[in-house]
Amino acid sequence: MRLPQEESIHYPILLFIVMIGLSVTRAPALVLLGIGRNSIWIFAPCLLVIWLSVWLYHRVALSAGMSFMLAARRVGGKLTEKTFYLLYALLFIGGAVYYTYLSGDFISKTLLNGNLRFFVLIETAIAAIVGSFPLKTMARYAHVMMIFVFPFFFAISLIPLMSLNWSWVMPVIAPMEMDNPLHSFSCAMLVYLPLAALGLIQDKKHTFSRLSVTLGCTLIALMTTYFMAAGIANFGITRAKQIVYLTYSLLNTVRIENFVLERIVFLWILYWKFMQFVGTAFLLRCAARSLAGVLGIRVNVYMIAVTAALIAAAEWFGTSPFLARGLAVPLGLATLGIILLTPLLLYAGVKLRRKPL
Amino acid sequence: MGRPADLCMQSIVQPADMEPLALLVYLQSTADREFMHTQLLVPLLEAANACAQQPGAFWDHPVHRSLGSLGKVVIAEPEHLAQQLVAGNCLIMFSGHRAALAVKSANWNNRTVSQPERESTLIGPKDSFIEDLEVNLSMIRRRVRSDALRVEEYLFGSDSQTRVRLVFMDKLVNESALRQFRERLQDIKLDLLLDTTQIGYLATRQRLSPFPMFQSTERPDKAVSALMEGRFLIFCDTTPTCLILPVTMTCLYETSDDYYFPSLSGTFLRLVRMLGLAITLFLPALYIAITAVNQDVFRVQFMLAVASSREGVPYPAYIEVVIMLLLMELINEATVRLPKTIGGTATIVGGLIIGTAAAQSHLISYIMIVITATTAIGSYTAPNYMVGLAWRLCSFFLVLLSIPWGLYGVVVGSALIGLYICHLDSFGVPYAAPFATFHYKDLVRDSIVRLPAIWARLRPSSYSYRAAGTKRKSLAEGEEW
Repeated sequence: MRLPQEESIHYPILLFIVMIGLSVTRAPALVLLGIGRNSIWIFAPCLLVIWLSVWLYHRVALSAGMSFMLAARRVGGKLTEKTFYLLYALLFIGGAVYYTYLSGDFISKTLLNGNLRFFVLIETAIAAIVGSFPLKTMARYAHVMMIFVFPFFFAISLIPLMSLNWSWVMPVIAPMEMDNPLHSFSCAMLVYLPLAALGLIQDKKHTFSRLSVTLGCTLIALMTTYFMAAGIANFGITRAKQIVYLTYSLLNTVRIENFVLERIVFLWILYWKFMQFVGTAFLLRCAARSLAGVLGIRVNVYMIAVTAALIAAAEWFGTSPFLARGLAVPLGLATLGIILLTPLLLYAGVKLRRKPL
Repeated sequence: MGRPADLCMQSIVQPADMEPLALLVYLQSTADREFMHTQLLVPLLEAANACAQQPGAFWDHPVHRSLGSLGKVVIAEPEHLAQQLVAGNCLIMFSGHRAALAVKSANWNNRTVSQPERESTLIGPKDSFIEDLEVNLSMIRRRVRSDALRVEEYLFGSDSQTRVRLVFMDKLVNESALRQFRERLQDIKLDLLLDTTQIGYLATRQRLSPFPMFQSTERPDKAVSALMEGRFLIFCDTTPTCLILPVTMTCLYETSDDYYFPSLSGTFLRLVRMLGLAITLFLPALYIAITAVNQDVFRVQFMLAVASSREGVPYPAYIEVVIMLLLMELINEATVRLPKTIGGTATIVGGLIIGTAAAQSHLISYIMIVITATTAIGSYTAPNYMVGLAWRLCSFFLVLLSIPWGLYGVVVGSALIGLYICHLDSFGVPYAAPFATFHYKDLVRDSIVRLPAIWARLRPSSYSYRAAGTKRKSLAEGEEW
């Protein structure tokens, strides 16, 4: 990666910020539901898949010397390219619906008690506004978040460490609790949904450092694992499984006596909101870009508006307390399929093709 | 020229035959009388007198050679002559010649170099730019005695014919930014150029952004410091400030004192300024959020204190905030516009009498006075008035969002503002640099924190990649950090 110029941007930071916002909401609770205390290990297989995927995306970019989708067109023709775009569009629309729903749901239950549907629609509108800014702007914003928000967010996240009952995490391998491993695995994979953007935006202009992406994904796995372990150590496995927003509840238990704030969780929510703000917009923009790719046009404000309308419609008709849980498994599986299979197929195609692209 | 009242014509005649030899034409309002008298009139009259007894000898007199070195020859066409006159030249027309001699004789009545008014510092140089382009450039040349200093001149304003100078360091300047700036200069068509900010707004293509997209300074040391970081300066005749481009939000929050003080003190001052910014931006909106929407965020004891302070106030917190912020803006504007002698009175009347009286009559709470005063003081810490005003506008935006949504609104609003700032570019340099770029060394060396000079001896890369890593001063091998 060529760094630095006057305007050097490190895009893996954007991916990291999007993923971290996504990882600390429902993912720990959903994973716990499926495999209980074994959740602590769930990210090990996920990370293997992710590392392989990042390597494959990188190899395709290196071997083909062009963007992922252009390589798909050269290898498999226009139909392959359009199919790829469509798959990515469906994944990102699903991701955007999931994330905006989560955000609206979370805010309507924590900071502002109110109508869930109203907040979900507000979140979609905000995502559309933010999504209309170029990717470069979002990446710069992510840099700012990395300096001014993430360190404090991370520090607050560590506060529960002071009052946990670690014996409740034992035994760390509990075969009796392996109720639904596929459910847990797919919910964990869902955290890495934004990684599919590697197939959309990696080209000569936007390059991703493989090392940075890999490190970022690993850090996210560690943080999510920490939240799951701390959740169990704080509430016990039976109670932890019943909590919808495990991380929120975990931090909500921290009382900070003799301080201005009643509880530290309020600051944590605000910091999370700063990161989520760009996360939903990023997914929405990626969805718009994929849809534009299907139609063979460039992404523009109209495409973003159309995509936002699609997401809003999906939320309007689909809003229910079970939407996030219902979406998590299919989206996680779709993430696994798309971020692993599409670069794998394309890499094989590039290697098997005899004439140069 | 329509026979201007200040047009003066003075003929030089030979006393013997009263034959006119030459004619001095000038505008009395612009002419330097001393110069005219000593350098033009007296030598010409003496020459005419000396040659009075020798017809034709006047044209061979040495005075012509000395005059020739003072001015330049122009064709005696009416429009050419008029241009020279309005540019402040005196025209000498000789009998029987179709050309005239234009001699610079203008006295634009410049003030002397004085202390900076807006950017005062405790230590460091005390000179500031004035309205004279040459004097301003001399201040730069005095500080940078390098042959790499480049100066380009442009003429703007079809009517004002104002001279504009572009100054940069050849080997350090951000070339792409400079090229882009030059291209945009070509597109600027004006009838009247009064101030460098006009060039700034037109060249940066600034539309609705409240944030200044150029840095304006009256301090030569600040200008030179920017020059050595790979930025360029724009001077305009009749303007006592220069523009610095490209600009970032960080450099708008820097003052000369930051560098003249020890690094720890300089960093502390910057942190205080950042605190001032945070207070200006967030405090009024947070007050609304915690008193009207998210009462459960703060400790009960704290909220009880706030509630008891608001006892008797007949309307919601946001009305209070809006009233007080508007009042503060009124006082602010009055203080800036009024003469200094009355400005102090306005502040006392506004701050003490209205504030205290409003609280005693339960129109606002006492805690609101504390918040307003803190917000106002916070906004005054901004070294650049324009950026301070922009933050105050943003503060109103946050207040509006906090009324229905409380803390959620504050976060959404501030994230939108942050995103917008990240979106801004100043000739290819991100406005939020070095925070929004991957120039982590710049971030550590000189952003919110300022490292000691001994550890920050390399130039930053945020403004110009060409300047990146070049040495500010001589370093021993292997000493680069």
